[in-house]
Amino acid sequence: MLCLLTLFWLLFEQALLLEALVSEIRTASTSAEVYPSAVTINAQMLSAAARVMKTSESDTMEKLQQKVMLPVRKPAKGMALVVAHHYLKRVFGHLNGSLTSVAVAAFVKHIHEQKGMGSWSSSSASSTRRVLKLSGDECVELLQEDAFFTDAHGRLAILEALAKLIEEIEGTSSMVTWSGPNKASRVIRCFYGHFANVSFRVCLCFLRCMSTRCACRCAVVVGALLSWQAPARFLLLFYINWTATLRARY
Amino acid sequence: MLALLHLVSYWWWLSVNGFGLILKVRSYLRARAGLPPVTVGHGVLNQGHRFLYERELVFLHDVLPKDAVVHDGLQLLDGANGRRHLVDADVAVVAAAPAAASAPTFPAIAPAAPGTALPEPRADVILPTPPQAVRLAPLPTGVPVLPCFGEGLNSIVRRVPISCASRSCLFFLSLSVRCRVPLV
Repeated sequence: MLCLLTLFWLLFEQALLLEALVSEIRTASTSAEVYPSAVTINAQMLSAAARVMKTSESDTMEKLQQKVMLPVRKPAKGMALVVAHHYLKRVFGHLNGSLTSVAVAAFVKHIHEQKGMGSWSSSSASSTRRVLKLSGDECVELLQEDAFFTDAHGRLAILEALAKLIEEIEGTSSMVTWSGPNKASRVIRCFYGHFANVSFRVCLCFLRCMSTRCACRCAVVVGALLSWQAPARFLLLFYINWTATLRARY
Repeated sequence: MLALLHLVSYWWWLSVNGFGLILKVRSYLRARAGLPPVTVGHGVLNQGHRFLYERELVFLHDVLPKDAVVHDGLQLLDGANGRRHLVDADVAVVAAAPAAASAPTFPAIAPAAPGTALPEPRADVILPTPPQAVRLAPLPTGVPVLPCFGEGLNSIVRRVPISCASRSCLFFLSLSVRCRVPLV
């Protein structure tokens, strides 16, 4: 019972931490804040955990350093003792990974539409999920003289990726405006750090493709793909309801 | 003969166990001496790709326009800031935060924080620039993206395919802007 309660606590804390990190990236006003540092993550984690556990920050810190029984996949599926704050900090890694996949998927999709780079393939004959892959040579071509953001098509694709990333961190209403006749022109108002955040992710993916010299799965466009935030946001709704009920009751 | 056997067995022992052992001894000594670990960024609590991000910030500084006006559909709000590519400013900000004092007490972070601190890029550090100056290529014509506002409204008229009515509207607008005539 206690184990289950701890698990729920941690899941709520993860949801709150994710929310805090996303808003941190969205409301960043300097380049350093766009990529949260370990110190920032620690502070956010403490405040999120303190909000869920309803204890002071020093008590929370002690609790987070204890080992708790949690479900794990390695070395075998089952329960194991895990340090609580390790479990919480995985949120940042998941967020990073999903931001990369969102940015790269948008970039590859757009560059495929514009320049016809990449090819569609499916993992097996019976599979209906199709994957757009860039070959190693195409990645080299895009990396040469940084064509992926200096070249005209590459820059449009990067802007598309930037817009998608901003959408992912829910900043579209504040950072993207449509103007001109018939609202045809899009203007992205963001900080320098946001642009660098997108371009380094795309560059990283290309470098990985080049180093392996094999076709990389840069984008999964067709097929059911759950957004990363769906489960966590779902939990957050529960958390708000739960706290509201508690407040109403006591 | 015995010496040769000794040598062979020693070689075998070294090749099988030696490197791992040496690494362990080295890492132990380094840890005891308070030096940063050799394998930076192992484990679950590393800095992620932050270093790559910082490198990208420095690299893009010379490429992206250094002003805060709209260029090809992108406006950098801190574009005119000369320190936009530096991240050492956040050290002071974070140190002032109340939670920062308690943060380093986490056991996994505490030994790593002073040692693995990445060299912060400074203003006086000159990175090797690419052989040819990186330039942003002009966008193809007909792309529905707002160009630089400095060029004036004529460029919008030229680039964006719009209907005749809105074109004439824009023409009057540009006239009123140029002749400083109030619209209403």
